[in-house]
Amino acid sequence: MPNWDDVFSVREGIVTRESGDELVVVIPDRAKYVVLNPTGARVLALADGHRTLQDIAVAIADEFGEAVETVQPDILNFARSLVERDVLVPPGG
Amino acid sequence: MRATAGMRLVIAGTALEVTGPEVWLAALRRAWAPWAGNVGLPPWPVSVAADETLAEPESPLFGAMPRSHSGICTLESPGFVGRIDASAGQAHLRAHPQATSADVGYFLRVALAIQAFARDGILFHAAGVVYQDRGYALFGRSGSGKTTAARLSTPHPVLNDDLVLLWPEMGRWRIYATPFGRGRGQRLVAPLRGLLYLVKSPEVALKPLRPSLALSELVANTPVLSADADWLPEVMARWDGLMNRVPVWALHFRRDVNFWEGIDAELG
Repeated sequence: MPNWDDVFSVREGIVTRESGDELVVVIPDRAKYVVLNPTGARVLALADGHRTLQDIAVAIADEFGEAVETVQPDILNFARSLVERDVLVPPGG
Repeated sequence: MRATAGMRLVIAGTALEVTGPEVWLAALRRAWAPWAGNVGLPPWPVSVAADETLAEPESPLFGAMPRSHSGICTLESPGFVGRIDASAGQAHLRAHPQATSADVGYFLRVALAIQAFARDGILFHAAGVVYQDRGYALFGRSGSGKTTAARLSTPHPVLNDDLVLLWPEMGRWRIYATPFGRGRGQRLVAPLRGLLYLVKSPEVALKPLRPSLALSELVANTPVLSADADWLPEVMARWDGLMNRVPVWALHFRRDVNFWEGIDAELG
């Protein structure tokens, strides 16, 4: 389970393409894909290997006009699902 | 093993000119006879050689994962060393003498998938059915019912129940039969009318498919190329372009119903 202080980046080799207002994320060597809505796509973009999950929650709350505590549970669950799918990894992972 | 022979595999604008041991090529030449026609674009030479210095095969070549780097695809597993060079337009397979025609056939299939893509086509993991003179590609996840849907499509011509070639011609896409799976041989090509994503369901219906999901599933059903980060951006772009010209639908179907009338009613 990720923690607020954790930092993640997008796994190397992952390929993305916008489709409508969604983002298709393909993990080639796992033959898997994930489709992200605009918020999910923004979280992925913010996972730059420097920002913590807390930083990302603050940024998302700010951008979408929500209270940080409102978005926190979703950010944490979302990050966990992307870690489980091997889309997000610790920096250098 | 010493007698060498040749054979040709031609589908739409793809063409492989294969040389190798007769013991491996004879069965393929017979089974693939409908695809030995005239070559339009220059064929890629494909050489197949027996190599006793390789380890004995532990499993069919089918289980080997193609790897690409700088335009060169390698296919290696105990008993096999394959190399497909898209930029040079050639391929070579060394195989232990205990390899089979099926192993060689799989290598040719990978080479054809790469050549097709390099020449603007797409080898597609789908069943191809011709209904009222128009072709439909039925695709889905493993176990989604491609073979069942093809069988239920009788008496309409089945191009193939597993792999078809999508090919652009004069601004339109066509769907071609391939020898990589089971077809009825009634027909080899048709204009492509639609891509149908199979969903098992109690009811028969044709429903819109979200473009993002359609793109994902189409990419996932692009053999060889979808597993490689080098090819993937162009694979996604190719499918995006195709989706702009050919509609993608979710076909909800059940095993015992003739669903083609429903498709006809929706798509006309």
